[in-house]
Amino acid sequence: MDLFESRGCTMSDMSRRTFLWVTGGSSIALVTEPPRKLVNKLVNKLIPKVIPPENIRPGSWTVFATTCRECPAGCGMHLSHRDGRVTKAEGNPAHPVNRGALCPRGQSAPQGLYDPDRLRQVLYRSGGASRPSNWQDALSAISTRLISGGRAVILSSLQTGALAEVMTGFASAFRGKLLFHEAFNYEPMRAAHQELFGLPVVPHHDLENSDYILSFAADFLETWVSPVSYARQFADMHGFRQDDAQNRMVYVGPRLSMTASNADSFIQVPPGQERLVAATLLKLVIERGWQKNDLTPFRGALDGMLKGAGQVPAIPEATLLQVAQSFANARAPLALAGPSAAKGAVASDTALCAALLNYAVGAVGKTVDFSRPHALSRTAREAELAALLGSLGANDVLFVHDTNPAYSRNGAAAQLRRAGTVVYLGTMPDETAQMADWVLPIDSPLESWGEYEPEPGVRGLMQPGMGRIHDTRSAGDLFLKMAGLARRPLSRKGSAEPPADFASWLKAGWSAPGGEAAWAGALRTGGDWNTRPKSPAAPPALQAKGGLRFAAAGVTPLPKPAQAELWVWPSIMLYDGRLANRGWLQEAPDPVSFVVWGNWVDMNPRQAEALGIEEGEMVQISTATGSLRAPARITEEVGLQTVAVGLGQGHTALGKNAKGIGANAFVLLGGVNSGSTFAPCRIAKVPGGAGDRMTATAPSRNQLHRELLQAVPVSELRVMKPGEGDRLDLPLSKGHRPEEDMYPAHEHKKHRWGMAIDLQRCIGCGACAVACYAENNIPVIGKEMVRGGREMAWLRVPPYRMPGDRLRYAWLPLHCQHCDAAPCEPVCPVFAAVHNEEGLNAQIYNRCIGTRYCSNNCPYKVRRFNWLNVEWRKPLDLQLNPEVTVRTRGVMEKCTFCVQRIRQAEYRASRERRQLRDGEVVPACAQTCPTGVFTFGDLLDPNSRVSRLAATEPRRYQLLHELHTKPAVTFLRRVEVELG
Amino acid sequence: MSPASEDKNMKKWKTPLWAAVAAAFVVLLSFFAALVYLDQLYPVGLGPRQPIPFSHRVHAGVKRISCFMCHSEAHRSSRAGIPPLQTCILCHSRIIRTYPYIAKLRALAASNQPVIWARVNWLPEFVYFDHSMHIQRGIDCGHCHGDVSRMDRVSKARKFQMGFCIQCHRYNRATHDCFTCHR
Repeated sequence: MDLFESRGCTMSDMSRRTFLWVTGGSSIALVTEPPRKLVNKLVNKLIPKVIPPENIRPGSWTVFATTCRECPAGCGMHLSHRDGRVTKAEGNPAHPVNRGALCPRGQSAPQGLYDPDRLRQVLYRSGGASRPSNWQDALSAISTRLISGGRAVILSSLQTGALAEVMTGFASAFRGKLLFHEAFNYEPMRAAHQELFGLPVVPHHDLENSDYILSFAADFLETWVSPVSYARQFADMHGFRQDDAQNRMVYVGPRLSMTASNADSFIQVPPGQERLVAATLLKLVIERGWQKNDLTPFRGALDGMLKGAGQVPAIPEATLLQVAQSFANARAPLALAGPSAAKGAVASDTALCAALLNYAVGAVGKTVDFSRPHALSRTAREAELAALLGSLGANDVLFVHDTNPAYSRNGAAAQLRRAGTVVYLGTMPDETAQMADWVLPIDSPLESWGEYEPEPGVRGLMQPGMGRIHDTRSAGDLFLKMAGLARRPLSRKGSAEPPADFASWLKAGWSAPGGEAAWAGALRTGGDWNTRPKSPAAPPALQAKGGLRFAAAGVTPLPKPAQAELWVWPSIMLYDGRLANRGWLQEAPDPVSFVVWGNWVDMNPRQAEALGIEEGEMVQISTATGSLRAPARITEEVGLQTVAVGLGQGHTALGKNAKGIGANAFVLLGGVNSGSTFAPCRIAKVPGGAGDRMTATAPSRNQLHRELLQAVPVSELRVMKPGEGDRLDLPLSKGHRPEEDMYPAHEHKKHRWGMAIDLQRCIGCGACAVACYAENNIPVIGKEMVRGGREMAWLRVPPYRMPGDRLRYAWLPLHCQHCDAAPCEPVCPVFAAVHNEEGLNAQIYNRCIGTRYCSNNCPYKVRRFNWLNVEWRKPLDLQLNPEVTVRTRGVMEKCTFCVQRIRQAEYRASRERRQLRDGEVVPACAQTCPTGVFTFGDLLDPNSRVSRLAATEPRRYQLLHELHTKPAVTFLRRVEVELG
Repeated sequence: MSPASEDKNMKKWKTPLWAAVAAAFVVLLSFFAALVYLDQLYPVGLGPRQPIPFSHRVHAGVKRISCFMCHSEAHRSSRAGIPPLQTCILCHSRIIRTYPYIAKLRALAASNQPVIWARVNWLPEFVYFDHSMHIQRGIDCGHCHGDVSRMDRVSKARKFQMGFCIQCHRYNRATHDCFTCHR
């Protein structure tokens, strides 16, 4: 859309008499027409409920507890419901997995519900063209196929509980099979545990109580297994405590991912060689006798593998020795094996070595608990999937439920087509839906009943947060209905009667042990779990007795400069690509590259120079199975002869936002490469690329000596007492200094809101930024506008290079600092930027005339200008927060410290005739932060947590303190751990 | 002037009955018009026509039902809330069941159809007013909404413009923080 499209306007031939006649007439019309009628035309209807649902009150929030289904982690979620619609998703504070936090993907759940491109009606495809159909035709046609002997094969996203029971019953009723297809199935880890312990599972990892985490390319803060839970545990484990020794995390891998950047030391190795580092560490542990469990029988296999590999990564022996020693001697060490997307022999070997390391140092039964396997252990393995897809034939009715194999599995599309009938049950018109014969639109997880049990003992219930917005059905209901129509009605185990619908099937399972009260309790809390800390079960016995099979071949030599090892990583925003149509996630910058809307190829500068490739130029990456084109990003984040590509982009369907953005890296995978984690590939420079330029909103990692993001060595902190540290100029009357201040001090009578940001806890995930979009009606403006510097994010979390460390980034969450001597305020000619009674820098939209002086004068560059009137594509407008004004063109906006939440908390306290409690006001960013970076509170209250942090925490500093803006945000420095 | 001519004149000025009636009608009409114009007939104005002619005068005035009986959210929420049909049926399932409009109401409730009322009071969407905080401070509903106990068809008693709000806030020494209403 061209913003400044000029409308052709010519002088007409209107005579003076006609002109007067027209203007006179319209003036009379305006005078006689009362303005109220004009208003009435806009909003003139009041529609009350007939019988109001219980606990839903006009003008008040109602919260529904449900379970997030954006990835298999299964976090608890609260849906904020207002006047019939869900506007926000927040973490369920009582849920043991996420404890109130959500990642960016979970935050974007309402955008999935209101996605304008969602499937709205039944589609039938014949002869290549799809046409609308109806439910009756669809269900009767499908059940007729089943009656006439069709085999029912179901490929579904990972499900547990009622829906899994229904689908299993359905598949077996029609002689078929049910497989849970997830793009990331952690097969290497499961295979390793199968081989060692006879348990093919993803175990429960206890990061919280670990004091030394060793990650072999496992991006556990981004996408690996259960990232929100791990992020919280990692922050608790890795955060700074004055009295405790600083816990460590070491990351071994080829790419400086967000997780790698959070490690205390990042050991960069070429792809595929993480396993060699793991094996070397294991060997050192055995050689030096540091092991707690005997591993000598495996020495032969280890030596054989290391010898066979031929080339050992160039890592100083001392480093390896030091890591091995710290790991083995840690109180509760933990080794994690990745990467998420890998499936081959190399990844299996890495997992095997990591599992042996865990076993050797006694982590199994301590930080690794096999008695609580993750639900991901139930996903289909490669061999099962290949066999099933290979067996599809004309007699099969293939049901694909909520998974997209045509996109995320190379070559699956052709195999799916071999099935006689393909029925797609999903919410989005994705690549699999494009090739299905029948497309059945199902409810979004936010509209449906269901359950999900991420690990034993944590049962999450899903309940609809609102009524359906389209003509959709629940997947469970559809399977029950089709089974009934095909004359094989399904019923729960132990009951002869087929249930009325899926919800009653679900309810029967929940009220079986505890009756109606158990069901009501689960509806209120969002599920059923035991909150008591569990002690891990006794370690399983070792099954493998010496004869370990290391399957991977030796390191593949790459003699030509255009050759490289491929490294594929799932994006924290888009996961396996299912979320790619959500504007918030496309516009949310990648934590490391800060690129929005698209993907890119990471390449080492030396290789790029050898090939004559420059930053931003299009390159083609080809493996044996496929190729893609994306702009090159030249960076040392990857080593020599390594290229890294993110997954999740490059859709050919799915919706308007996703289609044609970036390139699909799944096409590079799928080949058999026993010597590489993914595959060897070729790089070629290709012409073009003007249409797919990388768009980053933080172009430099360099701090340019401005010391924005500061760090302090642990040794220095240890000798500091509470209260020592920088002198802060707090935004209070005591911070007013006549010799420096131009303006008189502000008087705050009731509150002075402030925030503390603990940089040591910030992992850079960007959940806060997405939560801010959701809470504050921030528009998504698209790639072109972002490239023009017009992004609207009120809160950004840019990465900066840590001083003195080339390969370590840290993140600086930055929003309005709500300064006491705010540079934005005196320059506003119309008093739209004003200091409010509680210390906030208020931006009054209806007063703003858009001079943008305030933005120019803001040293933190946190103000955003509305360059255009953004239209929310229907029904995305239903997500808008009714407590926040939707801004129009020509208005400046910025962070308000979520003033709507402050007001609501104040009003609630006032209605209950009490004082506000510390911690009662929680801005959206602080609410969703998995790691507890933000502390919000009243600086006037000396006992509030934020006041105490600002007064006593030795790590405190203020951003650009020298400007004497007296910001209300206190940053707490990152901690530098000296290795040794 | 002779008596004859006087007689003749009188005859000439004799008004026909129809004209007298018409004149009386016009006088009466202008009297009513004056009443309406001077807000004497509807001292509180006449609001928009509603689908069911619910009378606040009868309910709040004659029957002295509290505002909170129907606008139950006013003391605990930002909005006062338009009562659900259930609230009407609470009484009208027992009393005045057959009056045509109430029969219509009952029929709507029976078929789960809402009544679509015409809006009377309106605030722009960038203004955030909170009923509960004003009720709590003891501000009478009538201060902003006028004397609804005298209104059959509720009308807008005040123009909700910023001056009206600020005047009251100034008088009561209430907050002048822009962020209270605009955010």
